[in-house]
Amino acid sequence: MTERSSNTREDVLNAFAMDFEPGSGILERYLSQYPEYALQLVDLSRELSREFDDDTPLSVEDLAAVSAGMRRLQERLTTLQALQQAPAKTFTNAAKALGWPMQAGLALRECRIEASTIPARVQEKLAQVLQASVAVLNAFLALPPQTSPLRASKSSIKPGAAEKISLERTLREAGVDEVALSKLLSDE
Amino acid sequence: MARPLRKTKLDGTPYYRREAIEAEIEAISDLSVSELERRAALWPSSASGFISPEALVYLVRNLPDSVHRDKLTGHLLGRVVRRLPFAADAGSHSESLTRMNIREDVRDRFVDLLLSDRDAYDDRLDYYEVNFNHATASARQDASNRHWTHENRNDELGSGEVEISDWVEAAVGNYDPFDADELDKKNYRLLLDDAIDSLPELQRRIVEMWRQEIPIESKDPSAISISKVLDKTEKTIRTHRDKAFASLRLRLERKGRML
Repeated sequence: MTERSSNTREDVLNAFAMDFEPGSGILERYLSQYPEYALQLVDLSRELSREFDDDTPLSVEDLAAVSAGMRRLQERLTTLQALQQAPAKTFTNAAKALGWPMQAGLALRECRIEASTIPARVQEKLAQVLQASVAVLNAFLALPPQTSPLRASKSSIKPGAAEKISLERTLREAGVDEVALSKLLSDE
Repeated sequence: MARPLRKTKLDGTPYYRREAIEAEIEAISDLSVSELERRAALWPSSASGFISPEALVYLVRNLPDSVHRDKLTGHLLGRVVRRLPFAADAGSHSESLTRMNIREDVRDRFVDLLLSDRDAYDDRLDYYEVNFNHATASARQDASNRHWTHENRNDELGSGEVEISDWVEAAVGNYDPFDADELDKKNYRLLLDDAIDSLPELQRRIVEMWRQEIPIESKDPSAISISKVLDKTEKTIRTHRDKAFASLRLRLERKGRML
């Protein structure tokens, strides 16, 4: 038995879409059971019968539509504001996932790494592990460099003004050897 | 075994994936990341190793956040976009803009469903695992209802009795746009769809019900008929059906000559 009273218009139309087979009497059955949605059912039947040319490759317009959809998915994940407010652990975890030392993760958090010195493939990986788009990552790295007040107060040396340095220098100063450095900076 | 679906039918019983889809999901579950990505990119659907959109939805919903999932999601969005009519095919600028809005609307709502499903299981995506093409058609219709307005749809009201003209009668004759031999030809089906789209709303509905073999009129008052659904007399329905068929014939013949 169909529980008509609790079914919304959306439920009925979706159920019809799932049951539909051309010329099988499904439309007639639904029209009989749900006369209040008759016109919507007829219009949906028309849409379900629509033919598509599946042999052609995706057009430029189609590919742009896919890219726009992917951007929406990715941008929803992490915004620039969310990255600015993210705890240090987010960046040290990201550094760890990429095989960087923890200090490089902190430099990342403090926007002290010059974005242009990060190879494109490494940028993509970094954006992925931070669950951000490459554009959001670059916008974050373009922010003025900072020094953590907490770490500055613990240091025995008077800290200088924060500056942006290359990824290579960041990794070297963190003690990464030549072999590992070459691997980490590889753009492949 | 693939994670069961949670969406229930109107009678309260759960939806199931088709057996072929369940078997496909099981078969691809052991594939390497690179092989899955290669096969998800395959097109057309007749290609050996092609992954069905239903199985692709299952994969995207159940994979952990990763570059791999992003790649498969890109292919999945491609499948959605393939089920959206081209905006450029429309007759006027206003129609073209409306079709563009429908395309974006369907795609964005699908993305919203994916995002919602990542936060907490969203059973509306289950429809896409049961029958992807039909779920997309349903989303298209939903978007069409929002975007087509009386301002941008060139429709005849068709409310009164309309006398059939001689030229219509002559054009229709024994013509049937749903002739089985013609419907076997894919190109004909594509042209027919375009031609039906160009009809006024009332005639489109008559043609659709005719196609689904619903009678124009029935002696049984409880039976479904085109006349009853559209609340028009039998004569009005017949007249508009003939006008619709005449328009379809002229349009298809003109297109046929251009090809």
